[in-house]
Amino acid sequence: MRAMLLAAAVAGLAGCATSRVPLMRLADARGEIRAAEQLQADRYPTASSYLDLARKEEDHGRRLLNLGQQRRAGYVLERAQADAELARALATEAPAREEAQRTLDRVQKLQSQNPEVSP
Amino acid sequence: MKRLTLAALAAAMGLLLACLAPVPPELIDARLTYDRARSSQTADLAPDELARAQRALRRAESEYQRAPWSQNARDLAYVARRRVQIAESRARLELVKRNELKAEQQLSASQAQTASELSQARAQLQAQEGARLKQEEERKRLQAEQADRARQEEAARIDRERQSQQERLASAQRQLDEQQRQLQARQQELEQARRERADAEAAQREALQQLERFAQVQEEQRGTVITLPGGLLFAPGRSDLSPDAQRALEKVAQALKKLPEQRLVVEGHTDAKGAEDVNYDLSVLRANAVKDFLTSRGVERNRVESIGFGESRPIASNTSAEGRASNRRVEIVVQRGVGGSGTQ
Repeated sequence: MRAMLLAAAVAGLAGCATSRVPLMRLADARGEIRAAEQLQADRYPTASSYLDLARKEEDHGRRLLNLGQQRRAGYVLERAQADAELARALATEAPAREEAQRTLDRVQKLQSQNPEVSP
Repeated sequence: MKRLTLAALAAAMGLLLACLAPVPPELIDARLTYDRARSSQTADLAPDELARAQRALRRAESEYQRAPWSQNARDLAYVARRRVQIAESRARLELVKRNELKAEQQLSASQAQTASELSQARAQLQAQEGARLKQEEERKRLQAEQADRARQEEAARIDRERQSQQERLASAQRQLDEQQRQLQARQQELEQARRERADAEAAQREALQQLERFAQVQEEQRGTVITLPGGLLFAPGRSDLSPDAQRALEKVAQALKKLPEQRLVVEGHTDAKGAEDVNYDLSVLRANAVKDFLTSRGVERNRVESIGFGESRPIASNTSAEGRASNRRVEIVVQRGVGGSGTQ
């Protein structure tokens, strides 16, 4: 009898752990999407397309969770998180690239104004 | 035994299905993408992200090995490919940052070099300005020295000119003093001469006044004419002086000695009685006799001249006795002027 009760408790804990992972995936995806949005990833076309994918995948994951397909929702939300992270990376890269280009332009302009300055 | 056989059969079937299952395109893309990133700069620039992608790819590979037909393996491959893309993005970002840092360093170096060159240019400009100011000061100093020299030379020239003027003035003053002295001496001489002349004139007047007692004295153009009647001096037809004549001529001689500067002309005149040549000779002899007497009494011979006119210059008619008496005469002409002008 005691052995049966312990097995039931382990099975319950395992079920809870299994049900918590997709929720954590959802939170991670949601956080990454928010981070990408704060970096204004929508302003950059490539980043915007990945951000859209992430949003759609997040919605898909939510629907799967509502349907009780926990495991499948976890993978979909993991895709959403990856797309959101890529959108955030691209949104970080683009302005840095623009700023670097401005710096290079300043250097080239200074060099053209003063050709004797060595690069 | 039968259960083991079924298990072995199931395992073999599974292995067969795994070998027959096609590799999903997501996994192929993930592999290719990962291989490309690993052989690029991503391995150096974003190693942590690339390691995370590698773990994701292994997870996808494992899932594919476990369940080749499952959608989960495709999702994990999809995630692995995104991880590789994220790693590549991080690598590009790192490269951009490095390039930007390098550009900023170049910019800083350029700005520093520009600032240095600007500083050097300013220093050079300042040095040039300093040199220009120094040159300007030197030019002004030379101009001032030149002006000083010019002023000194002008002052020296003025001093020399003033000294020369003073010397000329002193010389002129000396000449003036000399001229004044000479003038004064001349005035004294003239005064002395005037006094002497006055004295002489006074003496002459006195002498003539004395002569007027026994002779006729009158002023004519040719000078002072002293007329001695012939009857007083000579006997008729003779030319020697009587004692009365000598006494009278003595007084005349004394008077004439008081006129030492004037020439004397002794003129002998006769009346028209008798031969003319005889009268002429007689007039000459008588004039010479008077001259000789006067010189014997101290009158200088070189200022006495004698001349006979005979009957040629009568002063009255020869038809009457009184007229002839007047024509017989001796005239002593005291000529005007010092030394006489020499009229005869």
